[in-house]
Amino acid sequence: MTETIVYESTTGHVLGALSTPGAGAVPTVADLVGDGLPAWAGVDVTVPAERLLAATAAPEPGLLAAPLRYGVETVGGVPRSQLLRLSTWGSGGVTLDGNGVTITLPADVPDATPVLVVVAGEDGPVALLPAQMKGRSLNLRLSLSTGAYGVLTLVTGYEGRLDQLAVR
Amino acid sequence: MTVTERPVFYEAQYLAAADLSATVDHARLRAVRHDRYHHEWGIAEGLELTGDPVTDPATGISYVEVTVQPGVAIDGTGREVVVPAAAALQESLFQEVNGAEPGADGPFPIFLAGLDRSSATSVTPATRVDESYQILVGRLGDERLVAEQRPPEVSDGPGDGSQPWLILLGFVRWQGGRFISVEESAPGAQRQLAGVRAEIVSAREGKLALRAHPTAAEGGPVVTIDDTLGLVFGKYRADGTVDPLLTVSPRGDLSAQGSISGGQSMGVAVASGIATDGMLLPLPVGVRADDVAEGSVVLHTTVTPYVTPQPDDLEGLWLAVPVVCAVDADRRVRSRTRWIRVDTPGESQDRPASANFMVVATAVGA
Repeated sequence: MTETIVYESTTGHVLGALSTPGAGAVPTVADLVGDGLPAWAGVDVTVPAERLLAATAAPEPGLLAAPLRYGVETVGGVPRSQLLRLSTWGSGGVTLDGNGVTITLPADVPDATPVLVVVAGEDGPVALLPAQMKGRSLNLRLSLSTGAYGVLTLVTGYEGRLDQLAVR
Repeated sequence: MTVTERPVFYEAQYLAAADLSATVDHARLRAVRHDRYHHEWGIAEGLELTGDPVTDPATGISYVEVTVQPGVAIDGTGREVVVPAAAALQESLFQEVNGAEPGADGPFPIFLAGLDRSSATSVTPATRVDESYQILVGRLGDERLVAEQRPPEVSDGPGDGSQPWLILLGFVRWQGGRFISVEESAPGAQRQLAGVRAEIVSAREGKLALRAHPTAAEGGPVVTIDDTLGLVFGKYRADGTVDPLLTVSPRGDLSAQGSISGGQSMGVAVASGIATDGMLLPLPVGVRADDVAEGSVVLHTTVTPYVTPQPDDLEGLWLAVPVVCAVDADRRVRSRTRWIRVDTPGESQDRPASANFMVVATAVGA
């Protein structure tokens, strides 16, 4: 089987995967996801195709069950086929309030660690927030009205998260 | 005597010249009709137009001496035209038709045609006819005349050259009173090679070969039909056997060493695998999205939930139930599983999931 993955270009998170028999050329991102890849978190949280890259990867037993747990490591700009098993969040988490999104990690991360947060509401996309962080916490300011939201959180080195959160 | 009459003789018959001529003519006309109707007219062997470079020692000007090489052709009347030895193309022949300075360097077509001549060895009245040939130089554009020629009636004999059947040998270019080059073809005009007319071609002993060259040279392409192997396209090995590249076995199995493209020609093509939620299902190899959009290929898709073990971040005992497992019009998979905790009633989570898929592409009308 050939594992074809789609991953976020800055954080390296695998967002989608396709397992097919035989080998062939790596499909384009457009072939794999069209204009963007929707991730379901109560509502569709879509990552646009221009932020995605495609590659083939060595088989991982849990890849198709939970692709967000895997990341791509690049060497000289070339993705390695062996995927990284990303760290769990443990005591960390993601919270939402009317002023934005707060990310709390279980341990410090080095300076300029890539982050991407995508927020969507019941009426569609709300915000796509690329950022960098250092240490254990990051607050991304965003004005949110009361309601339910889906949040995709990608921090390099940690599993990708899909959270259904509410602003009360 | 009609074309269907065969001369017969009886003992002590006085044989007139007409009787003997009828004997010759019957066989000749039979051969002519065979060549005319069982074959496509054209060059059967040789007859290349060649140019040998020469430099005039006095002027230093380069030119070519043009020669028609030996060979055989069958013209459209069924006449065999034989050039038994190389024949030089005379510059005077060119000038008779086009003049010494025709205004353009060419390409000027060179033709071959049959011509009956009185044999040099015959006496008067003639007792022999030399079935000879003539080389004709055309004017610019005269190569179109080849396609305008019409075959004679069924009852007609072969041409005698009085109305030449033009067989194109090639082209020459002319400059400064000399031939300066030889060309095998010109746009829209090339040498016509002899062919075969048949609706059935059968082998004698269970194997028929069709190849692109007279000899079975190593690497040369060949198509064979064989009782045991079926239909094979391949290339000749050094030992004369065929290295198969594409085979249709006698029971219809198709195997190819190279890739097969063109989804419509396949009739049915399939893609299958596992896709995570949100991915677009791939099209089978050879099927283009445009073919699907235009309706010339129809897709049949099937998805089923991909069963996974309980995620390790769920504590306790959980049961998985598919909530959504579908494909939309864009071929995008949407798959979600509801995990229901069974050891603590009332707790559940919906999570994205993967799906097994199969995409079957069918060419419309296949």
